[in-house]
Amino acid sequence: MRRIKYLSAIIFLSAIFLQSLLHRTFPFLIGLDLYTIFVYFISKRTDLRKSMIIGTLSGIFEDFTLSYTIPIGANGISKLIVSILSYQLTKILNSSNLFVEMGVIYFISIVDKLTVIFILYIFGISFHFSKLLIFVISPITNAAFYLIFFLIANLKWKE
Amino acid sequence: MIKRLNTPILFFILLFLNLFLIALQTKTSSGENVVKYIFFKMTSPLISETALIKNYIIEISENFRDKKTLIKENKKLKREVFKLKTNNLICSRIKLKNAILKKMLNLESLYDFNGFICEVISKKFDVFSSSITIYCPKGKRLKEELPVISYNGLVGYIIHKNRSCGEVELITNSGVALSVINEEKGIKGIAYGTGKNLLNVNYIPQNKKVEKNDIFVTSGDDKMYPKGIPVGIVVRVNKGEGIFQRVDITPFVNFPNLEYVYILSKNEESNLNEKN
Repeated sequence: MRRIKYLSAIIFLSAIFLQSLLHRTFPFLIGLDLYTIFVYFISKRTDLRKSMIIGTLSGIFEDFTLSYTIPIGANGISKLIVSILSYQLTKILNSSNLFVEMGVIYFISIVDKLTVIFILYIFGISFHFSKLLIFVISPITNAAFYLIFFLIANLKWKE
Repeated sequence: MIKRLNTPILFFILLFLNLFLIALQTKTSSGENVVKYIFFKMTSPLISETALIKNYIIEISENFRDKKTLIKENKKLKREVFKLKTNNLICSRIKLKNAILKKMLNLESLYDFNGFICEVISKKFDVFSSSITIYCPKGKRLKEELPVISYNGLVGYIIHKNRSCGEVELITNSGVALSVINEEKGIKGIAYGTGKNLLNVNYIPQNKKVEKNDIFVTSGDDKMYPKGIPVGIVVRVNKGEGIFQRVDITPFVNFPNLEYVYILSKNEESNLNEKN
Protein backbone atom coordinates (compact mmCIF):
# COMPACT_ATOMS: atom_id res chain seq x y z
CA MET A 1 0.00 0.00 0.00
CA ARG A 2 2.82 2.34 0.93
CA ARG A 3 4.51 1.36 -2.29
CA ILE A 4 1.44 2.41 -4.25
CA LYS A 5 1.40 5.72 -2.44
CA TYR A 6 4.99 6.45 -3.37
CA LEU A 7 4.36 5.30 -6.88
CA SER A 8 1.30 7.53 -7.14
CA ALA A 9 3.28 10.50 -5.99
CA ILE A 10 6.07 9.76 -8.41
CA ILE A 11 3.62 9.28 -11.26
CA PHE A 12 1.80 12.47 -10.36
CA LEU A 13 4.99 14.53 -10.27
CA SER A 14 6.25 12.97 -13.47
CA ALA A 15 2.85 13.60 -15.06
CA ILE A 16 3.10 17.29 -14.18
CA PHE A 17 6.66 17.44 -15.40
CA LEU A 18 6.11 15.50 -18.56
CA GLN A 19 2.78 17.08 -19.38
CA SER A 20 4.40 20.49 -19.52
CA LEU A 21 7.47 19.33 -21.42
CA LEU A 22 6.45 16.55 -23.77
CA HIS A 23 4.24 18.50 -26.14
CA ARG A 24 6.92 21.15 -26.48
CA THR A 25 9.64 18.62 -27.26
CA PHE A 26 7.40 16.35 -29.31
CA PRO A 27 4.61 18.36 -30.97
CA PHE A 28 2.74 15.21 -31.93
CA LEU A 29 2.19 14.53 -28.22
CA ILE A 30 0.14 17.70 -27.84
CA GLY A 31 -3.01 15.70 -27.26
CA LEU A 32 -1.47 13.67 -24.44
CA ASP A 33 -3.25 14.07 -21.11
CA LEU A 34 -1.19 12.39 -18.45
CA TYR A 35 -3.54 13.58 -15.75
CA THR A 36 -6.29 11.34 -17.14
CA ILE A 37 -3.95 8.37 -16.98
CA PHE A 38 -2.98 9.36 -13.46
CA VAL A 39 -6.64 9.57 -12.42
CA TYR A 40 -7.31 6.18 -13.94
CA PHE A 41 -4.29 4.80 -12.12
CA ILE A 42 -5.54 6.17 -8.80
CA SER A 43 -9.11 5.05 -9.38
CA LYS A 44 -7.92 1.57 -10.11
CA ARG A 45 -5.99 1.29 -6.88
CA THR A 46 -7.92 3.28 -4.29
CA ASP A 47 -11.54 3.69 -3.23
CA LEU A 48 -14.06 5.91 -4.96
CA ARG A 49 -13.98 8.85 -2.56
CA LYS A 50 -10.23 9.21 -2.61
CA SER A 51 -10.10 8.86 -6.35
CA MET A 52 -12.82 11.53 -6.67
CA ILE A 53 -10.90 13.96 -4.50
CA ILE A 54 -7.51 13.27 -6.07
CA GLY A 55 -9.04 13.37 -9.55
CA THR A 56 -10.72 16.71 -8.91
CA LEU A 57 -7.64 18.23 -7.34
CA SER A 58 -5.39 17.00 -10.14
CA GLY A 59 -7.86 18.44 -12.68
CA ILE A 60 -7.83 21.79 -10.94
CA PHE A 61 -4.05 21.58 -10.77
CA GLU A 62 -3.96 20.86 -14.50
CA ASP A 63 -6.13 23.89 -15.13
CA PHE A 64 -3.86 26.04 -13.03
CA THR A 65 -0.64 24.83 -14.68
CA LEU A 66 -1.52 24.13 -18.26
CA SER A 67 -4.78 25.54 -19.51
CA TYR A 68 -4.79 29.13 -20.59
CA THR A 69 -7.97 29.16 -22.57
CA ILE A 70 -9.98 26.72 -20.47
CA PRO A 71 -11.31 28.19 -17.22
CA ILE A 72 -10.02 26.79 -13.96
CA GLY A 73 -12.42 24.14 -12.78
CA ALA A 74 -13.44 22.72 -16.15
CA ASN A 75 -10.85 19.98 -16.03
CA GLY A 76 -11.67 19.56 -12.35
CA ILE A 77 -15.22 18.53 -13.26
CA SER A 78 -14.09 16.36 -16.14
CA LYS A 79 -11.52 14.60 -13.96
CA LEU A 80 -14.13 14.10 -11.25
CA ILE A 81 -16.39 12.36 -13.74
CA VAL A 82 -13.42 10.47 -15.15
CA SER A 83 -12.44 9.24 -11.69
CA ILE A 84 -15.98 7.96 -11.00
CA LEU A 85 -16.27 6.45 -14.43
CA SER A 86 -12.88 4.77 -14.36
CA TYR A 87 -13.57 3.41 -10.86
CA GLN A 88 -16.91 2.00 -11.93
CA LEU A 89 -15.53 0.57 -15.18
CA THR A 90 -12.61 -1.05 -13.40
CA LYS A 91 -15.02 -2.53 -10.90
CA ILE A 92 -17.40 -3.79 -13.58
CA LEU A 93 -14.78 -5.11 -15.96
CA ASN A 94 -12.47 -6.36 -13.21
CA SER A 95 -9.76 -7.10 -15.73
CA SER A 96 -6.05 -6.43 -15.78
CA ASN A 97 -5.87 -7.02 -19.50
CA LEU A 98 -3.75 -4.33 -21.14
CA PHE A 99 -6.06 -3.84 -24.07
CA VAL A 100 -9.13 -3.59 -21.87
CA GLU A 101 -7.36 -0.98 -19.82
CA MET A 102 -6.32 0.85 -22.96
CA GLY A 103 -9.95 0.75 -24.04
CA VAL A 104 -10.99 2.17 -20.71
CA ILE A 105 -8.31 4.87 -21.03
CA TYR A 106 -9.57 5.63 -24.51
CA PHE A 107 -13.16 5.81 -23.32
CA ILE A 108 -12.50 7.96 -20.27
CA SER A 109 -10.30 10.30 -22.36
CA ILE A 110 -13.20 10.81 -24.76
CA VAL A 111 -15.53 11.42 -21.82
CA ASP A 112 -12.98 13.80 -20.32
CA LYS A 113 -12.68 15.88 -23.48
CA LEU A 114 -16.43 15.81 -24.12
CA THR A 115 -17.07 17.00 -20.59
CA VAL A 116 -14.66 19.87 -21.06
CA ILE A 117 -16.33 20.81 -24.36
CA PHE A 118 -19.73 20.58 -22.71
CA ILE A 119 -18.66 22.81 -19.83
CA LEU A 120 -17.19 25.35 -22.20
CA TYR A 121 -20.40 25.25 -24.19
CA ILE A 122 -22.54 25.72 -21.06
CA PHE A 123 -20.52 28.67 -19.86
CA GLY A 124 -20.49 30.16 -23.32
CA ILE A 125 -16.71 30.09 -23.68
CA SER A 126 -15.71 29.92 -27.31
CA PHE A 127 -12.88 27.65 -28.39
CA HIS A 128 -11.11 27.24 -31.67
CA PHE A 129 -11.84 24.34 -33.94
CA SER A 130 -8.18 23.27 -33.82
CA LYS A 131 -8.68 22.51 -30.12
CA LEU A 132 -11.38 20.07 -31.07
CA LEU A 133 -8.82 18.17 -33.08
CA ILE A 134 -6.62 17.88 -30.01
CA PHE A 135 -9.62 16.50 -28.18
CA VAL A 136 -9.97 13.83 -30.87
CA ILE A 137 -6.28 13.00 -30.88
CA SER A 138 -6.01 13.03 -27.08
CA PRO A 139 -7.80 9.66 -26.35
CA ILE A 140 -5.65 7.82 -28.87
CA THR A 141 -2.43 9.38 -27.54
CA ASN A 142 -3.47 8.63 -23.98
CA ALA A 143 -4.22 5.01 -24.77
CA ALA A 144 -0.92 4.64 -26.56
CA PHE A 145 1.00 6.29 -23.76
CA TYR A 146 -0.70 4.05 -21.21
CA LEU A 147 0.74 1.11 -23.04
CA ILE A 148 4.26 2.43 -22.47
CA PHE A 149 3.46 3.36 -18.91
CA PHE A 150 1.98 -0.08 -18.28
CA LEU A 151 5.04 -1.78 -19.57
CA ILE A 152 7.37 0.36 -17.45
CA ALA A 153 5.23 -0.08 -14.37
CA ASN A 154 5.02 -3.83 -14.77
CA LEU A 155 8.73 -4.01 -15.14
CA LYS A 156 9.22 -2.17 -11.88
CA TRP A 157 6.73 -4.22 -9.98
CA LYS A 158 8.34 -7.41 -11.10
CA GLU A 159 11.60 -6.26 -9.59
CA MET B 1 -13.79 13.15 7.66
CA ILE B 2 -13.75 11.99 4.06
CA LYS B 3 -14.87 8.56 5.14
CA ARG B 4 -17.87 10.02 6.92
CA LEU B 5 -19.08 11.80 3.81
CA ASN B 6 -21.43 10.06 1.44
CA THR B 7 -20.13 9.55 -2.06
CA PRO B 8 -22.97 11.54 -3.70
CA ILE B 9 -22.46 14.34 -1.22
CA LEU B 10 -18.74 14.35 -1.89
CA PHE B 11 -19.44 14.33 -5.60
CA PHE B 12 -21.70 17.33 -5.33
CA ILE B 13 -19.24 19.15 -3.09
CA LEU B 14 -16.46 18.65 -5.60
CA LEU B 15 -18.74 19.50 -8.48
CA PHE B 16 -19.84 22.72 -6.86
CA LEU B 17 -16.26 23.56 -6.01
CA ASN B 18 -15.34 23.28 -9.69
CA LEU B 19 -18.43 25.11 -10.84
CA PHE B 20 -17.67 27.87 -8.41
CA LEU B 21 -14.13 28.11 -9.73
CA ILE B 22 -15.43 28.34 -13.29
CA ALA B 23 -18.07 30.84 -12.31
CA LEU B 24 -15.41 32.98 -10.72
CA GLN B 25 -13.76 33.46 -14.08
CA THR B 26 -16.70 33.66 -16.45
CA LYS B 27 -18.26 36.91 -17.46
CA THR B 28 -21.74 37.91 -18.53
CA SER B 29 -22.59 39.39 -21.92
CA SER B 30 -22.32 42.85 -20.39
CA GLY B 31 -18.76 42.04 -19.27
CA GLU B 32 -19.55 41.57 -15.61
CA ASN B 33 -18.11 38.80 -13.50
CA VAL B 34 -20.70 36.03 -13.09
CA VAL B 35 -20.02 35.47 -9.39
CA LYS B 36 -20.25 39.17 -8.79
CA TYR B 37 -23.39 39.28 -10.89
CA ILE B 38 -25.03 36.40 -9.01
CA PHE B 39 -23.87 37.77 -5.69
CA PHE B 40 -25.22 41.16 -6.66
CA LYS B 41 -28.55 39.67 -7.74
CA MET B 42 -28.78 37.79 -4.46
CA THR B 43 -27.76 40.65 -2.28
CA SER B 44 -29.25 43.55 -4.25
CA PRO B 45 -32.55 43.54 -2.29
CA LEU B 46 -30.60 43.54 0.94
CA ILE B 47 -28.24 46.21 -0.36
CA SER B 48 -31.13 48.32 -1.62
CA GLU B 49 -32.89 47.96 1.73
CA THR B 50 -29.66 48.82 3.50
CA ALA B 51 -29.24 51.80 1.19
CA LEU B 52 -32.80 52.80 1.97
CA ILE B 53 -32.15 52.54 5.70
CA LYS B 54 -28.88 54.41 5.22
CA ASN B 55 -30.74 57.12 3.32
CA TYR B 56 -33.31 57.28 6.08
CA ILE B 57 -30.58 57.57 8.68
CA ILE B 58 -28.82 60.26 6.64
CA GLU B 59 -32.13 62.07 6.19
CA ILE B 60 -32.89 61.84 9.90
CA SER B 61 -29.39 63.00 10.83
CA GLU B 62 -29.64 65.85 8.32
CA ASN B 63 -33.04 66.75 9.69
CA PHE B 64 -31.60 66.62 13.17
CA ARG B 65 -28.69 68.79 12.04
CA ASP B 66 -31.13 71.11 10.29
CA LYS B 67 -33.24 71.16 13.41
CA LYS B 68 -30.20 72.09 15.45
CA THR B 69 -29.27 74.87 13.08
CA LEU B 70 -32.89 75.95 12.92
CA ILE B 71 -33.05 76.07 16.69
CA LYS B 72 -29.89 78.17 16.71
CA GLU B 73 -31.25 80.38 13.96
CA ASN B 74 -34.57 80.63 15.74
CA LYS B 75 -32.83 81.71 18.94
CA LYS B 76 -30.80 84.24 17.00
CA LEU B 77 -33.90 85.54 15.25
CA LYS B 78 -35.77 85.71 18.53
CA ARG B 79 -32.95 87.83 19.94
CA GLU B 80 -33.09 90.01 16.85
CA VAL B 81 -36.87 90.27 17.10
CA PHE B 82 -36.56 91.24 20.74
CA LYS B 83 -33.92 93.80 19.83
CA LEU B 84 -36.07 95.19 17.04
CA LYS B 85 -39.13 95.23 19.28
CA THR B 86 -37.13 97.14 21.86
CA ASN B 87 -35.90 99.50 19.18
CA ASN B 88 -39.42 99.86 17.93
CA LEU B 89 -40.60 100.62 21.44
CA ILE B 90 -37.81 103.12 21.86
CA CYS B 91 -38.71 104.65 18.50
CA SER B 92 -42.37 104.87 19.38
CA ARG B 93 -41.38 106.36 22.72
CA ILE B 94 -39.12 108.86 21.01
CA LYS B 95 -41.93 109.62 18.57
CA LEU B 96 -44.29 110.19 21.47
CA LYS B 97 -41.76 112.36 23.24
CA ASN B 98 -41.16 114.22 20.05
CA ALA B 99 -44.89 114.81 19.63
CA ILE B 100 -45.18 115.99 23.25
CA LEU B 101 -42.20 118.26 22.92
CA LYS B 102 -43.53 119.59 19.67
CA LYS B 103 -46.83 120.38 21.35
CA MET B 104 -44.93 121.99 24.21
CA LEU B 105 -43.06 124.18 21.78
CA ASN B 106 -46.32 125.11 20.14
CA LEU B 107 -47.49 126.45 23.48
CA GLU B 108 -45.59 129.66 22.84
CA SER B 109 -47.60 130.44 19.75
CA LEU B 110 -50.76 129.10 21.35
CA TYR B 111 -50.71 131.16 24.55
CA ASP B 112 -48.32 133.89 23.60
CA PHE B 113 -45.78 133.37 26.37
CA ASN B 114 -42.31 131.88 26.82
CA GLY B 115 -40.65 129.49 29.17
CA PHE B 116 -38.68 126.27 29.08
CA ILE B 117 -39.37 122.56 29.02
CA CYS B 118 -38.52 120.27 31.94
CA GLU B 119 -38.64 116.52 32.15
CA VAL B 120 -40.70 114.85 34.85
CA ILE B 121 -38.43 112.51 36.78
CA SER B 122 -40.78 111.30 39.52
CA LYS B 123 -44.41 111.41 40.53
CA LYS B 124 -46.08 111.08 43.89
CA PHE B 125 -49.80 110.52 44.26
CA ASP B 126 -51.16 109.76 47.71
CA VAL B 127 -54.04 110.77 49.92
CA PHE B 128 -52.21 113.65 51.56
CA SER B 129 -50.38 115.28 48.72
CA SER B 130 -49.81 114.92 45.01
CA SER B 131 -46.66 116.27 43.43
CA ILE B 132 -44.21 115.69 40.66
CA THR B 133 -40.46 116.24 40.56
CA ILE B 134 -38.99 117.87 37.52
CA TYR B 135 -35.46 118.06 36.21
CA CYS B 136 -34.28 121.48 35.17
CA PRO B 137 -32.18 121.60 31.98
CA LYS B 138 -28.73 123.16 32.03
CA GLY B 139 -28.64 126.92 31.58
CA LYS B 140 -32.11 127.33 33.03
CA ARG B 141 -33.02 128.25 36.58
CA LEU B 142 -36.02 127.24 38.55
CA LYS B 143 -37.77 129.58 40.93
CA GLU B 144 -40.43 128.93 43.53
CA GLU B 145 -44.07 129.68 42.66
CA LEU B 146 -43.43 129.53 38.95
CA PRO B 147 -46.50 128.21 37.12
CA VAL B 148 -46.15 124.82 35.47
CA ILE B 149 -48.29 123.82 32.52
CA SER B 150 -48.55 121.00 30.05
CA TYR B 151 -49.52 121.12 26.39
CA ASN B 152 -53.11 120.31 27.35
CA GLY B 153 -53.60 122.33 30.47
CA LEU B 154 -52.50 123.64 33.85
CA VAL B 155 -50.35 121.36 36.03
CA GLY B 156 -49.51 123.38 39.14
CA TYR B 157 -46.69 125.51 40.49
CA ILE B 158 -43.19 124.98 41.84
CA ILE B 159 -43.28 124.60 45.57
CA HIS B 160 -39.65 123.65 46.27
CA LYS B 161 -36.53 123.81 44.18
CA ASN B 162 -32.87 123.08 44.37
CA ARG B 163 -30.05 123.39 41.85
CA SER B 164 -31.34 121.09 39.21
CA CYS B 165 -34.66 119.78 40.42
CA GLY B 166 -37.95 121.20 41.50
CA GLU B 167 -41.06 119.89 43.18
CA VAL B 168 -44.35 120.85 41.58
CA GLU B 169 -47.55 120.92 43.59
CA LEU B 170 -50.42 119.80 41.42
CA ILE B 171 -53.68 121.74 41.14
CA THR B 172 -55.58 118.68 42.32
CA ASN B 173 -53.75 118.72 45.63
CA SER B 174 -56.01 119.55 48.54
CA GLY B 175 -55.48 123.10 49.75
CA VAL B 176 -54.59 124.48 46.35
CA ALA B 177 -56.87 127.17 45.03
CA LEU B 178 -56.93 129.11 41.80
CA SER B 179 -59.19 131.51 40.05
CA VAL B 180 -60.99 130.06 37.00
CA ILE B 181 -63.36 131.35 34.40
CA ASN B 182 -65.66 130.00 31.74
CA GLU B 183 -64.90 132.41 28.97
CA GLU B 184 -67.99 131.60 26.88
CA LYS B 185 -70.48 132.43 29.62
CA GLY B 186 -68.26 134.69 31.68
CA ILE B 187 -68.70 132.57 34.81
CA LYS B 188 -65.95 133.00 37.36
CA GLY B 189 -65.16 130.88 40.36
CA ILE B 190 -62.48 129.57 42.66
CA ALA B 191 -61.25 126.04 41.96
CA TYR B 192 -60.05 123.98 44.93
CA GLY B 193 -58.05 120.80 44.81
CA THR B 194 -59.73 117.78 46.36
CA GLY B 195 -56.83 115.37 46.67
CA LYS B 196 -58.43 113.30 43.91
CA ASN B 197 -58.41 113.80 40.17
CA LEU B 198 -61.12 116.39 40.58
CA LEU B 199 -61.45 120.13 41.29
CA ASN B 200 -64.33 121.87 43.02
CA VAL B 201 -65.29 125.22 41.61
CA ASN B 202 -67.01 127.39 44.22
CA TYR B 203 -68.48 130.82 44.38
CA ILE B 204 -70.53 130.51 41.25
CA PRO B 205 -73.83 132.28 41.71
CA GLN B 206 -76.98 130.21 41.40
CA ASN B 207 -78.32 132.29 38.55
CA LYS B 208 -75.37 131.33 36.32
CA LYS B 209 -76.17 128.44 34.11
CA VAL B 210 -73.30 125.98 34.22
CA GLU B 211 -73.64 122.85 32.15
CA LYS B 212 -71.77 119.65 31.78
CA ASN B 213 -68.74 119.80 29.45
CA ASP B 214 -68.24 123.52 30.02
CA ILE B 215 -64.60 124.40 29.99
CA PHE B 216 -62.87 126.40 32.69
CA VAL B 217 -59.59 128.22 32.16
CA THR B 218 -57.42 130.32 34.45
CA SER B 219 -58.76 133.82 34.89
CA GLY B 220 -55.45 135.36 35.99
CA ASP B 221 -57.14 137.14 38.92
CA ASP B 222 -55.02 135.29 41.47
CA LYS B 223 -51.81 136.75 40.01
CA MET B 224 -50.38 133.29 40.23
CA TYR B 225 -51.24 131.87 36.82
CA PRO B 226 -51.51 133.73 33.56
CA LYS B 227 -54.91 134.03 32.00
CA GLY B 228 -56.31 131.53 29.51
CA ILE B 229 -54.66 128.28 30.54
CA PRO B 230 -57.14 125.37 30.29
CA VAL B 231 -57.88 123.87 33.70
CA GLY B 232 -60.65 121.33 33.30
CA ILE B 233 -64.04 120.32 32.03
CA VAL B 234 -67.31 120.22 34.01
CA VAL B 235 -68.40 116.76 34.97
CA ARG B 236 -71.04 117.54 37.55
CA VAL B 237 -73.06 120.57 38.64
CA ASN B 238 -74.32 120.68 42.23
CA LYS B 239 -76.82 123.48 42.67
CA GLY B 240 -77.25 122.99 46.44
CA GLU B 241 -79.27 125.24 48.66
CA GLY B 242 -76.98 128.24 49.25
CA ILE B 243 -76.42 131.29 47.14
CA PHE B 244 -73.58 129.62 45.28
CA GLN B 245 -73.54 126.45 43.30
CA ARG B 246 -70.74 123.97 43.28
CA VAL B 247 -69.25 122.52 40.11
CA ASP B 248 -66.93 119.56 39.80
CA ILE B 249 -64.38 119.73 37.03
CA THR B 250 -61.87 117.18 35.83
CA PRO B 251 -58.45 118.55 34.93
CA PHE B 252 -57.36 118.28 31.30
CA VAL B 253 -53.95 117.07 32.30
CA ASN B 254 -53.54 113.38 32.84
CA PHE B 255 -51.10 113.64 35.74
CA PRO B 256 -49.96 110.02 35.95
CA ASN B 257 -48.91 110.12 32.26
CA LEU B 258 -47.13 113.41 32.54
CA GLU B 259 -43.64 113.31 31.04
CA TYR B 260 -42.74 116.87 30.14
CA VAL B 261 -43.91 120.12 31.57
CA TYR B 262 -43.52 123.72 30.56
CA ILE B 263 -42.27 126.23 33.13
CA LEU B 264 -43.38 129.75 32.64
CA SER B 265 -40.65 132.24 33.40
CA LYS B 266 -41.50 135.07 35.76
CA ASN B 267 -40.41 137.76 33.33
CA GLU B 268 -42.52 136.32 30.63
CA GLU B 269 -45.34 136.07 33.02
CA SER B 270 -44.99 139.72 33.94
CA ASN B 271 -44.83 140.56 30.26
CA LEU B 272 -47.96 138.53 29.76
CA ASN B 273 -49.64 140.38 32.57
CA GLU B 274 -48.54 143.61 31.05
CA LYS B 275 -49.99 142.47 27.77
CA ASN B 276 -53.21 141.54 29.46
